[in-house]
Amino acid sequence: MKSSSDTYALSRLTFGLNEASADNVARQGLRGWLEEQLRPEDARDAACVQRIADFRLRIRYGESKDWPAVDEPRTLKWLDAPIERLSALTDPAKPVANPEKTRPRAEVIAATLLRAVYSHWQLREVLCDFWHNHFSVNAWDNSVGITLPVYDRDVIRCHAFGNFREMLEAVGKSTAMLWYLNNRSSRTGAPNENYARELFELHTMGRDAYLNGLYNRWRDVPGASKGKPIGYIDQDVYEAARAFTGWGIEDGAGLGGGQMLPRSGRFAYVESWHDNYQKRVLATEFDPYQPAQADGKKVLDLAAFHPATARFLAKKLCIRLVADNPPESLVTSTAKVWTDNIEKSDQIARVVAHIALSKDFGQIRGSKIKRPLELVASYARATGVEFVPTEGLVGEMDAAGQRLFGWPTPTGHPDTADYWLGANTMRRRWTLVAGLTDNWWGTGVFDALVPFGDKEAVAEKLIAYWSERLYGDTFPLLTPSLMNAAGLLPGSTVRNPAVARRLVAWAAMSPDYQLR
Amino acid sequence: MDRREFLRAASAAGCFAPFASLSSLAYGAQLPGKPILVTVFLRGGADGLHLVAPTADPDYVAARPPELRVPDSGERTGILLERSLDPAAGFRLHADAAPLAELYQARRLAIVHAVGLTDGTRSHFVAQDLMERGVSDEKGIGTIGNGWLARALAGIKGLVPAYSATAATAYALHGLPASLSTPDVSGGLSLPWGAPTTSLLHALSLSGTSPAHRASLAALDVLESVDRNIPRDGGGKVLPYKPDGRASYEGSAELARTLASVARLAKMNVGLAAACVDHGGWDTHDGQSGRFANQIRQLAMGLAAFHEDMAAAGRKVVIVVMTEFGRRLRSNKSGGTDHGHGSCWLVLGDHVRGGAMYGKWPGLATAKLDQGVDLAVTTDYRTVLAEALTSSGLEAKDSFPDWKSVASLGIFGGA
Repeated sequence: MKSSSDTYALSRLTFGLNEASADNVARQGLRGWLEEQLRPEDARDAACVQRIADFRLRIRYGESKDWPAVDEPRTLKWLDAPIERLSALTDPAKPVANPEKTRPRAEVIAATLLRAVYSHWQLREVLCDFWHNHFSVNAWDNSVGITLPVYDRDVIRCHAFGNFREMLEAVGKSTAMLWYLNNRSSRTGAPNENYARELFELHTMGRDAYLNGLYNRWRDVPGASKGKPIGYIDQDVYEAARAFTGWGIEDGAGLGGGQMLPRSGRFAYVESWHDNYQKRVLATEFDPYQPAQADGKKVLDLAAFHPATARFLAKKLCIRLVADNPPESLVTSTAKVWTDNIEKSDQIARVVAHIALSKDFGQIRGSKIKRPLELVASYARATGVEFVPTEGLVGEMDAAGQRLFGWPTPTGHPDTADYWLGANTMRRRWTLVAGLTDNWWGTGVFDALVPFGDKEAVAEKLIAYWSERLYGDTFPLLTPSLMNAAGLLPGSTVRNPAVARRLVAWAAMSPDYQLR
Repeated sequence: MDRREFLRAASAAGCFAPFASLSSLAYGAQLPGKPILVTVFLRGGADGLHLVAPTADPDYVAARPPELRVPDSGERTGILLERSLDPAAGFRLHADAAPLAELYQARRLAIVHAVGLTDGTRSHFVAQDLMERGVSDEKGIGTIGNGWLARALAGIKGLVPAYSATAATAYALHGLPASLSTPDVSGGLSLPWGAPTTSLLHALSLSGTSPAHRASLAALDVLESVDRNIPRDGGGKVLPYKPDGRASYEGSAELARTLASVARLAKMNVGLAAACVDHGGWDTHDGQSGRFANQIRQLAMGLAAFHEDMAAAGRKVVIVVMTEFGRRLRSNKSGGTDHGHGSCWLVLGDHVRGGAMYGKWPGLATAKLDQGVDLAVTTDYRTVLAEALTSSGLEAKDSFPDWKSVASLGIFGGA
């Protein structure tokens, strides 16, 4: 296969080639395209915005004493909703059917799939997917799921190209994360360590900086005597957990003395639950009785600005955008760009630009396995199907190993090949392509003969056309293999639309199409 | 000529006939007379002190509210265990584990307490990684790039020597080319559009060397081996699984369904020697009381059904129920427990000298706790796994490269 480096770049900076993205890169050059992509404006993506506004996702459930039966196509009404309205879905005083409670999550999933296929701002969608996995929450738990529209919109999407420290605080104060990692119930005297631990291990410094196996006391960690420890240990986790006591949610909890928090779902700082005494995190002393939230914010500063964090995030972004084992030199230079721009409001955009314009980025090809979301979106983009996200499709992607917004642990979906290549996950991948092609889940039908005006095509020409659409170039090996699979003799004319579609699907089941 | 070379040659010669020539490579059964080794990994750090607990120990009683303890009186009284590590401590099993108590009394189930990693990590992901690679400390993660069970199975012939009953291959089996990963085989494993797809994907998989090409080829091979052993009706529909004896996997618990898939595969003639099962949901930082009881019910019912099914079918099995660490002795204020250290594992099945606890009980006095807060580890996790491997006719030496065998716990040797 031959192909321009821009084609390969696009396959890793978008959810797959389509005519528009290829044309845009050809017109602007990769650098120009990238500069535009790093400054997304919804106003300049009217077609996709309209598509989401017009979209109807079916909802159906039976009647009970508290509600009537419902079976209707319904607009995505929760995407712009404030947390207060979403929180009312779990108010025990106003019971609603479970499909109403899972609806916010289902709507975000539908919008995510539509944007992956149709958004002009493809790079933003790629980064949102990255951050959702980096700051993963399990929205298949309804308490978290009802908050997903806010988490997606005001935390992830809003900061995807922004400043990491700001994003980290938005995550730490988000209803989704406060629920998911239990900090809402962390109180002075017996703090809950869950958030503090994952903050260090997964959100910032990374597990390579967790040195508990080597050191039992904080002052033994190299660099601690100068206030710059090279990593963290359990003692830092315990102290950080104390710093976040009192960071909670307005969830109706009792405050003592007959007082109660409202039930708005908003972030709450409860002074009486905060441990005000002195602390020491990462060899830095915290004085007692600091102003409201200052202890927690100081931990976020220490974690966000630590050199281990620059390295961890640089490597993770390179793994996402370049290769499972990115070149060491690229990780190092990326970490430097991260640190040099640590105060900038577009820190992340600058880091992404550095990676995408690096020499390594252009030279490395086909180095990443597509996750099911990438496979589905790239196939839909290449075929040009009028794509309809459905529950059936989401379930099949789950079976292929990717439950959107539902990875059970806070690590997010794995981003290296091993996880995605088991025997059955491969089979489910092939099933995804077959099901999209034959419309098993109501996702839409494409006509593979449309590009050939007279509704018939010579098989070789049909295959050449579609391999160009799928791969960005011809793929000579495919032709005899596909002809053979379809039982077609050389020079045959294809008139049956189902046969034509199946040829396209088989081309997309190829191992080469699983790579990006 | 290995299988891959054979396929290349066959393909190049234009006489590609997938699988027909491969069936002669099939092996009938697991290692003759040896039990299949099944690991059930309780992901998230199961609270061993809420499963098998020293209910008469005042340090235990003082550390937790009643709902996070196994009680020694009242409505949900734990089941008293004979032959425990310390009779004075009053070891009891969680009331919802009654099916496991029966297996203990029938001398089929052994309990290993205060077991775990010697490394001090309290990270799920590091701890699971260490255990699945079969190493003791974090230096091992950088040097060992495959799983402990994969290394033990490396020389074992068979179409499907290992089954990972998980969506993705369990890391313990990482590095073993011929394994099947799927939580459920009840729908069959055929490919969309049948034989033409299979032949095409074979040809395309042989055209490259990327991980996707290699994975494709391995997948086609394993899927076909298993799929043709799954009984179907005249219309090609997979017949429902019928467990042997009085075993019932009824109820919707995912673990039971997964174990039914293991049993189904174990009874096929694909040479299964080991299987890995996951059971998630044990990271109980909050609301532990109800969640834990539910988890224990699923575990106990699933294990009891699987044990009965395999026993009635005359298939030998050894099941090791493991977890990455236990939880903090003292509970938190969210009605839960944070990450701890020593935990409790279960071993059941054939040749197990059950009805007894193994290991050394360190006690729960503050001075005896790891870092002053957690149950200490007195049994290296590798001791248990090595004994289980040996009992299954597998070699333990490659599985645990930096481990020196100490005195055997003697869990195995029974009938």
